[in-house]
Amino acid sequence: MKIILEKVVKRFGETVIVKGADLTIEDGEMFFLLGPSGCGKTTILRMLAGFYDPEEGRILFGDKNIIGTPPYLRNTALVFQNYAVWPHMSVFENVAYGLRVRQVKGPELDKRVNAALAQVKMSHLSERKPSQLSGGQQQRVALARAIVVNPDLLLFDEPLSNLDAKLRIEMRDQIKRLHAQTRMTSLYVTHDQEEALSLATRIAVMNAGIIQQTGTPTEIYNKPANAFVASFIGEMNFIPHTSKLGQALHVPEGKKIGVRPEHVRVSPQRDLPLHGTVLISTYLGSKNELTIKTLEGEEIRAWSPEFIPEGSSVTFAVPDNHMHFYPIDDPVASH
Amino acid sequence: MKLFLLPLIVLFFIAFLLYPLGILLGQSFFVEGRISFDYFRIILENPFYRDCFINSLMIGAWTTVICLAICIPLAYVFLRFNFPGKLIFNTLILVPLILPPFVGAIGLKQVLSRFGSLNLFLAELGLVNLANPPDWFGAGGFVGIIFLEVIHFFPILFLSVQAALANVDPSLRDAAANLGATPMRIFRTVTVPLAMPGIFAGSSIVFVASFTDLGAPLIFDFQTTVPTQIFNMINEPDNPVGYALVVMTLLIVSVLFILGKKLGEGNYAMLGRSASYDSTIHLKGAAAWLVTAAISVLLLIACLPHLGVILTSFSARWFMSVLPQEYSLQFYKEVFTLDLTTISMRNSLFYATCSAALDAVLGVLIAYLLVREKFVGKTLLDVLAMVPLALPGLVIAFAYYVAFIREPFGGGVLDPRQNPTLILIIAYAINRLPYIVRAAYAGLQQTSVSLEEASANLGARPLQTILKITLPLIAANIIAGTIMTFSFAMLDVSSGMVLAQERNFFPFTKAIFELMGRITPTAPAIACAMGVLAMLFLALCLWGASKLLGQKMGQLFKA
Repeated sequence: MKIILEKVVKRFGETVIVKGADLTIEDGEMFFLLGPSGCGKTTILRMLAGFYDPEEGRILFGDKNIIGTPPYLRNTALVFQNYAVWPHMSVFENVAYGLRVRQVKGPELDKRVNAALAQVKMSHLSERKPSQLSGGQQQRVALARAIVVNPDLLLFDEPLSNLDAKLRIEMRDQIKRLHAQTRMTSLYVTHDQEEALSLATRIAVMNAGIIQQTGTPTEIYNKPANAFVASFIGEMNFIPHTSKLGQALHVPEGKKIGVRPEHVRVSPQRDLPLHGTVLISTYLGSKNELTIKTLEGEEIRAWSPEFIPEGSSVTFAVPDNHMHFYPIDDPVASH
Repeated sequence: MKLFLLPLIVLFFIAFLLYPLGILLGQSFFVEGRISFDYFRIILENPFYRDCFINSLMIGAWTTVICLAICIPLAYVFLRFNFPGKLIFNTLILVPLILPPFVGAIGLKQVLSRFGSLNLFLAELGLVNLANPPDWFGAGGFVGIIFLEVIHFFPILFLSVQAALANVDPSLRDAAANLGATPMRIFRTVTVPLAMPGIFAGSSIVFVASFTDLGAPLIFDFQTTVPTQIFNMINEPDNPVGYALVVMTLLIVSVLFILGKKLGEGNYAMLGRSASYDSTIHLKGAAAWLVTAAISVLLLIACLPHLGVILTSFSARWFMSVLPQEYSLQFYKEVFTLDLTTISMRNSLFYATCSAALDAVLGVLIAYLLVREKFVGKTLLDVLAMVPLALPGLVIAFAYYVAFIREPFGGGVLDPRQNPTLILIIAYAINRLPYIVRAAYAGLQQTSVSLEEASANLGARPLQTILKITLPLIAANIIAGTIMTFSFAMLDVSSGMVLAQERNFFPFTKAIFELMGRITPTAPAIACAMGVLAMLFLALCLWGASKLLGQKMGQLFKA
């Protein structure tokens, strides 16, 4: 189902959490809301689920404005960050809950619950209580519980952030496969850019209650619309025109350029136009992260395929086709 | 340190827990040197004692059911909604706790008896015929007793239900709403099942407390209950019926306690709580005022005994009128001049202070040993420290009485007939010991060992670490628990009634009881004046404890 948010504003008391959000989630899409904590992304998700209603604007499910509809009449299904698996019910009963609420009974109920459990590879544990399950298994139960009701909109609220690194990648693949099979319209909220880049059909990057940019993962990464998006996703060097390096690169007045470390060319020979020494060199196997200090004492980060020891003199270049131009006072993300 | 302390603590439990219980069980199960259930048969076959059990069970059951009917909706409303006066109500709801039910009974009689304020007021309105006024206490005081127990104990249940409901992770409710469950269905299938262990624990406290309450039946002179019969048996320490009654009571309480434990095993440690967000709903307009009005009426009814006590304490003349005809302060003056009252207040303060101090020391030591030390028999110590939870005050008092008036203790410092001071202090202390141990235990568990290790690492000796790091970190828990021990010792009825036999050693509750038995017309007013002073004092204590603990007040009443 196509979901549309129009000029949605949400306040809590005096504070405005969402400042006029416009979004369209296409039918069958895996749409991501990406942003730092407190940016308002979870608030948007909870408004879609119906736990809050916005003060202004419209939310359309298909062509129906659903503002004022209580959560239990919305047919969304939410996968919670802390799983929210009911501890007093077995795995089977957890998954069956939404179906029982919808008056599904008998063999039909068993069939659908078992199918959902099979999809998340939990069939063998259906009689267990949640306390006997690991975090990853609980999150799979939560996933099965959500998809089994065939929701109009599947919601994910940072579902992987309570899992350890290895499980996170496993679950990520699981979600990807599940979405490929079911094509359920989904909204996924996270602050983890890797999750967003690897799973999303499209991403909306949010900060301070405002949607900064909406686009496919490659658009977001390669053409960040502003300095915040540029610095929140991936790494970015910013070189203002006021710096010596900025002047050397002919940055226009009132601007700064952004360049990603992987695009800065570095050479141990003296064949590139800019000069510096390696201040910090971090060997990471597939690449080397360098912090280079210019003769004027300014710093720039670069990734080089070969290892260069600290203290080495190097030359480097910033290719024109990888420069992004932003106003000099455009705010950046704080990491 | 543990080598020195452990034997002392074990000795304490042997002398003041195992030995008296042993005497109690021995006397009721051994008849002429062999095991026998004769006494129990006698009790069950005797229609009078059967009635006593039925009455007491009915008092317990009705009290619990009515309390639940009040507290579950009330706690739910407090959890989910904001309405005018919520903060004040949260405190006011504790007010009924500061008056022992039997002092409340005096005030209640003034208000609700056949020619009490309510009937006279209704008669003025023409709603009641004074030739045959309704009897609000019903069935010889039976209804009155239940009414008193309900208004005294519902705050305790409220606090445990509130804590139990608040412990249910809001996202578990959200998940159900999200999957299509209506609010009513969520309440039925998610909230209540998850809160059940807490609700049951609170209910069993209320059941046991009202089942074994001695004060209210005494004041209503309602003799056919188990506690009153046990009390009467004190004068016949050789009559085995008393032992059998106590052991039967113990049996009922233990069954409940074990049931509660079993149910508590399903206690779901909430699996990673979600980020906290405010899920309370602001009620507006008529709905908000309706809630506020309903709670005000409930609290007004709950404070009827207090109002009665306060009015009586100031009334120089109050006969056949809605309110007193003349007011006076003379009874407060008499409280401070009469021997009986001054001595009993001094006694109560002394007993309560000593038992609170004893509990604080024992509680911290036991909790420290359990959390931080390793030794053989640790589980046993844990069990011993928790056993008093299943022992009503009346049972402990009776067991102490019969154990320490006989050889080898008879006639010694522990013999309550000689001087009950020591044994009363210990009785009060052991009643509340589990609560303090648990408070300290929780405090210690939440305090990371690495904080103590850091202190040791910087050169502090073990005792220095305990005094400078550990104790300050758990101080709030301990102080609040100590204040509660103190308050409960002040409020206690059964231990004092049973153990203090001579007027010189009466605690204030027994002095009030003694005053009520006098035929001098001013005696009830003096008793009420004492009651008011105690109320003020205890209100202060509770207020202090709640300041220290904030929202965690419910912990103090959990079993």
